[in-house]
Amino acid sequence: MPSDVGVSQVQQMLSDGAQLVDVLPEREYAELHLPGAINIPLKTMTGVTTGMMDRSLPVIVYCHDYQ
Amino acid sequence: MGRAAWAASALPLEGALASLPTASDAARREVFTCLVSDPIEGMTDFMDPQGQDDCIALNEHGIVMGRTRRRVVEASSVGATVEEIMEIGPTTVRPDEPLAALVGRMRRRGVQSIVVATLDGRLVGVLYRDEAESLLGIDASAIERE
Repeated sequence: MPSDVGVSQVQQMLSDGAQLVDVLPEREYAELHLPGAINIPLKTMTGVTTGMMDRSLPVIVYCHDYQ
Repeated sequence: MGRAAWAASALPLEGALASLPTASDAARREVFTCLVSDPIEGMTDFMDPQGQDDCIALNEHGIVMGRTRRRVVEASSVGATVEEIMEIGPTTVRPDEPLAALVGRMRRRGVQSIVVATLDGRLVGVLYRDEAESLLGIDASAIERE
């Protein structure tokens, strides 16, 4: 079940092994992204493109804006 | 949380633009701070008498509430508190603000220094335009001669 998380929560979750996904377009990901984030642009998100995700670990998804 | 919130919290980023200097890179971390409830008596003993004479006023949670300067403290009544003399809600910029553009705006508006704070208002430091220009390799005297 998705839920909003803040910066400090993200930091804690990452240290606990969560996966980080940047859904911005490829160009924006190349310019700036969070350390360790993989890029799955929103428009390309399918069962195939997300197939590499570990279903046993939380997934943090982010885009550009402030929450 | 978005990427902008992460960057505005002065946290690291990766990518082609990550190496461009930002406000966080130029901000002086060692700045004089005080609580809004502090009495101003004795403050000038701790403030820098030459140039960078800021005091950043924080609340009990470390959030930037105001800003005052030595000349204001010196001109104020001895019994006053910081809250009574400070500039309320000073202009701040986020740590991820691109430095070159920021310095350009500061120069056009004649701003010598600006507070750098995170998205939730926590103090990162104070950015002084002359120091930022040095970091960028800008010859300020050449600009002024134009």
